[in-house]
Amino acid sequence: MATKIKIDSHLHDRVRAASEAAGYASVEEFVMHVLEKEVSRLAEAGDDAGVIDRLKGLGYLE
Amino acid sequence: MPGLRRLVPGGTVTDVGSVRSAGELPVVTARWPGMKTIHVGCGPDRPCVCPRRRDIASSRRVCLPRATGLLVAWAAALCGPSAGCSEEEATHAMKVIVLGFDGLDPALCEELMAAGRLPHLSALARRGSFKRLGTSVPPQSPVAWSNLMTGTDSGQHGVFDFIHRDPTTAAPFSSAAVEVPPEPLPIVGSRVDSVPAFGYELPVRPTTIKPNRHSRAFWEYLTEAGVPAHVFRMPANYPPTASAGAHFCCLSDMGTVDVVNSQGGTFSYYTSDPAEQESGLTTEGGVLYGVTVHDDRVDGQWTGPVNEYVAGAGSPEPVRVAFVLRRDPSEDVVTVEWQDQTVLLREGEWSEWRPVTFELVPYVTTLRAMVRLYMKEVHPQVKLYVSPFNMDPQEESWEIDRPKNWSRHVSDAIGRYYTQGLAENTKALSNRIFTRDEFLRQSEIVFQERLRLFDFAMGHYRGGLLFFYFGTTDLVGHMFWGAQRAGHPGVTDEEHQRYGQVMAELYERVDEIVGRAVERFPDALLMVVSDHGFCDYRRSVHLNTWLQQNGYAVMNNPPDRKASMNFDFLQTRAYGVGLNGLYINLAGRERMGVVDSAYRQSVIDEITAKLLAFRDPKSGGAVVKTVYDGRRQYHGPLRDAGPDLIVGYMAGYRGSGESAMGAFPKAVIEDNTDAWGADHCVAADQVPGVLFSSERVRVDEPDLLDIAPTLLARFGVAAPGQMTGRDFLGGSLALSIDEHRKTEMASVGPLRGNQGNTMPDGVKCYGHED
Repeated sequence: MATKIKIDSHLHDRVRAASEAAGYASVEEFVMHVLEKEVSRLAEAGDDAGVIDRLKGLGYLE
Repeated sequence: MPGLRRLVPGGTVTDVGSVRSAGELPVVTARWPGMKTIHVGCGPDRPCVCPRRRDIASSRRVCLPRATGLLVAWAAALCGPSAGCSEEEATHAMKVIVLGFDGLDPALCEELMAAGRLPHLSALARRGSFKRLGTSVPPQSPVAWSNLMTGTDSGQHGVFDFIHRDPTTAAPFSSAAVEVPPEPLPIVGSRVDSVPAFGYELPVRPTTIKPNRHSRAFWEYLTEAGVPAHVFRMPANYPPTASAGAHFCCLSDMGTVDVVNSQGGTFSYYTSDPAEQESGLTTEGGVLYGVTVHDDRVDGQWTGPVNEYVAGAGSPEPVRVAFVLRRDPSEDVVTVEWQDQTVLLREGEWSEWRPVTFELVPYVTTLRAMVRLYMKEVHPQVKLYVSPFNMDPQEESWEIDRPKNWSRHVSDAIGRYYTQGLAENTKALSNRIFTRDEFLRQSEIVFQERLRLFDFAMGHYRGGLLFFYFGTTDLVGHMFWGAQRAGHPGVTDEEHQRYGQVMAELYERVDEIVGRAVERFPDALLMVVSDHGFCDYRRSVHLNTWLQQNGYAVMNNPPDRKASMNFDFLQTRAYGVGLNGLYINLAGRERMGVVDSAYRQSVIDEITAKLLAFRDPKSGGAVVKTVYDGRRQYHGPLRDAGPDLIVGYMAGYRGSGESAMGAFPKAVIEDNTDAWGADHCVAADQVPGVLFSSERVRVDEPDLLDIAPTLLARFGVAAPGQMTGRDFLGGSLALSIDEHRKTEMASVGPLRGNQGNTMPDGVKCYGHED
């Protein structure tokens, strides 16, 4: 289900300029790609149990 | 035989064995000053073989390959590091030796000196000076040693705690080193980061590991100025950075991971005891494997690093190496076999270091590690302790040394040694895998290796700067300091009686080491330093739970008190990560920051006041002595990367390990019943380190920040502008960090804090009297 999100006109102008400079077919395509990348990055970092596990060998962490 | 003397530079050839057949190399017996005789070369009936192919049969044997073409390479290896390895380049008229003993406490030194138990340190103090050495904020080893190395504080070198957090993800990570993923390779309009081959993904470029320290260390300035520098086992220096110019050799220590990339190492414990299998491990740092004994035989697997090269693996599996343990049906003896290794062990016996090979990609990528085994019990149950898999110092591919073949050169001379940092296995004791006696035996192994390295360092030293580090005083201190007096919640009365002198006896051995240095180099400038002191750790503070109860932090739903970083950030104004760190959930900086920058200071002031007013319900005493504001405490471009507040606990208290990883245990404060019964992550003025100097120290309150400028000044090297300390031997007029701080505080008012360091139930922290 599609959802509308409002952004102010100043931000919209900057987003449009960035999407044109980066060679995207449309502003929508650019915004979707940026959001997907950011959500993936945050999800990976939040699930980085390996990093936490590797710290637990520190004797300081009882 | 001509040319042989070139193979033993600096040494004396004492014997040349006969050549058995054409093309064979002779066995040469040679002596170096200060070192025992070693044999160089091998023949068909010589027992010593190339250490690169098999175990070193003797720590004193070095072998040359039979191919003549490799003679030059091996001669260079014998000579020393490839950069500046000649005797002349390693020699300097001036000798400055710094011995670092982690956690050596000044109050205990004073007590033992008064009792006549530390004659060499006493003599050093009389000859020059003995002073307390100001430590870092917080007094954690990676921070403190970084201060010492760089002459700058965390705002410049960027190390704030053992554990940092990423503000964009709020995830905690080790401050020791960072992995830098490789840039993909641009190929035909695409960016390629790996090449598929036979079910594996082979990276086109390697991941690099860089130290997290952002400032240059003092030895870099020295070697650039032509001063040789030998830096043995420097903590917070992994991987070691290169140093251009004069002769430089370095081995890393604290911060160096094991082969599975864990800090402190991950041990393995194989047990057939059903009770142990059921109870499991209570704290991390190791893995317990239940095994079954069939006909006196156990089949098991070593668990190595995760194999990220396997193609299409969503959750990569670790590489495993099969082993077989065979038990004598009646005697307490076993054999353990894996790959081409067979180890014979009696109950209660430790093995030597033995190689283990983890094959990640067949014929392409192999990790060569090493392991020590301890046969805890043979009958009735099989109980086998396996050390963390350490990087093999015989392998040049590991990033543990500079120049690149230095660790192999050292281990050729002294045998294999623990390459990981924090080698004394405190987690095995905390998990009750080791008894206290077993922990002391394992610590003794580490200490003996370090003494062999110390002898090597003394024998190799020809002037310039020599730094040598011992970590045993810290890790044994964490486990046995609390046994010195009765009443610690983690120490029984019997343990107090039995182990109450462990620390004193260890300090006596420290004194002997100092005596050896003085005897060997009586005219050298000698300093004995420590990064911090020690005190009991009797009460554990769950800072995030305190923040939650005081309305600054909210847990996610569903609540999970053990999960790391389980904050509802949209409702959290402040959170704790690391042993002393407290971060404001600042909008624009944090992942989901909600505190506007205009309100940052008011939140800080409010939390500070409440922390200082925080009372222990058990004793009524203050829990927090000082709250440091990061922006005032640190100086440099990285200041804002660190915590907003650094909690300086009263001696006897410490932030809990659970809260350090962002968890919310139920209680706010509780007794510390862990075997890790002493610590130093408290308000800094309570745990100063030591400074012994063979020359008079001309300032009243020397600090860790003063060590680097003092060393540079001694060699006539100008200290860079960002070093804020003083030359405490020459009486430099450079403005010290204390002066900076006094000037700042005069404008904002006195530092707020609690006075006194009374512990629960009126028991004073040992050795720290008001």
